[in-house]
Amino acid sequence: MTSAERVGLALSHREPDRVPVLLTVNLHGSVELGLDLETYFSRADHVVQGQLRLRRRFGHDALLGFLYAAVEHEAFGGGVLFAANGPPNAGAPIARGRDRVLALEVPDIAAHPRLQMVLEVIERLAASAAGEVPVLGTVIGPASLPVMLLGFEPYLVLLHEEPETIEHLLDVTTRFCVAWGRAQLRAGASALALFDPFSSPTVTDDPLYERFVGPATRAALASLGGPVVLHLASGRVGQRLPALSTCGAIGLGVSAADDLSELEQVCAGRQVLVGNLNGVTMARWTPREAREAATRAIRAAGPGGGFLLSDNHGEIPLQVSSDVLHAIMDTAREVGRYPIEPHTDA
Amino acid sequence: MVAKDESTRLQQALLGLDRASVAALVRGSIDADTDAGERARFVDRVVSPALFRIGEGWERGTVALSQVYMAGRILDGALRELAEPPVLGCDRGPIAVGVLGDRHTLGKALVISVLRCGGYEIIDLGGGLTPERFVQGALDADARIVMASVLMFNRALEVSRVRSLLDRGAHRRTPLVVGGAPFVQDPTLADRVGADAWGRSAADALRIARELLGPAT
Repeated sequence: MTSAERVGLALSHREPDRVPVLLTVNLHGSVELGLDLETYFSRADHVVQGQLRLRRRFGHDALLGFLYAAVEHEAFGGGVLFAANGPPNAGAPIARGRDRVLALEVPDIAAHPRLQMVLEVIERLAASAAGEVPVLGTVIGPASLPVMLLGFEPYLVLLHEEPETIEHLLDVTTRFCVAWGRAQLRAGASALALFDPFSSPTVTDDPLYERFVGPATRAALASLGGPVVLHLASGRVGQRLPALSTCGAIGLGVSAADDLSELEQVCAGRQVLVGNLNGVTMARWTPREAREAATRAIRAAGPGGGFLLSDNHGEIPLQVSSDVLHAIMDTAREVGRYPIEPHTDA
Repeated sequence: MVAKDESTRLQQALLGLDRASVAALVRGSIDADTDAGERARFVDRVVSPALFRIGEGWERGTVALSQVYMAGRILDGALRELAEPPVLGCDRGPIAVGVLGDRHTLGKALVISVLRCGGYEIIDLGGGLTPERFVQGALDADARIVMASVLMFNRALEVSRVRSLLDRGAHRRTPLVVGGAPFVQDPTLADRVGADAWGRSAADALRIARELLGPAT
């Protein structure tokens, strides 16, 4: 069974040969190529080679057409800060103040070199995969992207105090989200992850979600035109499950703080679960601890299909060792082989 | 038990983003002429319990980050309207707060807001700091406690460097407190990078400050 067939069956809530694994190793390719992260992310060729080498090494079930989240901040004219040992971060916010927010326009994807580089990565990965391995694209949720563009605190204040400015802002980010996601699907992405911590009750209270975040996210999901997993990037699903399970996403990327068994009871047959290995503790796990954590997740959410084993954040830290990644894959191949015995506390 | 009621009302007004009620509650107990001792008692009886319960709600997942931030902002604003903010801990020296590595300053803003409402003097070291700049700022301020807010895992690992620089540069052992997502996700991390304490929420920063410095008086 190919990875594409395996993931396809899981997304259809049927049982493939084993639980598919989404290893979010977008940073580890730099280690494979012996490059610092800034050099690694400077050329599509590097990222393509890195992803293909990682897939050969671990045998996971998706290639990542994802560089780093701040790519979208760059598209709006922002800077990016590279670090030696972790993901690049967005530079200073570019839309401080109402006037700058109201002046924001949807970036021209065709004119932006970094976005074009992402599309080139996706095209070349899709060509290499030849339909056997899914290629995953990534967009940031329309209500989450403003954290980079405005800064977290000014954005929260604006959400509470200037609804008209927020409507313009979310209109721009929603249109960009849809255009950027659709461009990745056209380039060959098999599915998209919509990273959206603002959809989590960890970040937003119900009134904010219902008034601004939910409508913007649902509008984006309705227009993206492809299979999309809503990923909460370490945020909890918690009590917002009823809203999230009907938002239009085919799956949810869930937190290590969520109980997979409880979510599975509600989502079975309706929405795929992706997760939820703790990406921070993973950095100090032994292979045995990795195996135990992966086994718990597989037993909780694997039975019946509809589950992709992954981390809870959507980006595995560079400090996570190859031994741990191999242990996760080995567990999926052994414990994750269908049929899977459901987890019991007995 | 009037104090408990006041505290509960303050908590509800903060979570409901009810600025007018928060301002009325504060003005009903202290004003610009209230002496330091009375302010300290108000903070102790009313403000701190309300902030602690909001922090507990955040830990349980019943209160969102957006509410925690706005609650701190509203309370901070109400206290600042009383001419000078009720800084009560000056005699114990300031608490220095900064963000290592990047511009994710929300956690720092939450901590500063809560500590200031709790009556402590704060030195805001800013965001995007290297360990060297972070420690230099803390030493220049002669900080009694240093608090580092961190969002990214790789930045959490840099706390080890902060610890060693602090130990090398300070004329006394300076407590180092950390907070942020990596420490919440891995409660063993703070100890492994040499922190003396870690906070799960901004309200924890107030608890820790009290443990290390005593109540602001």
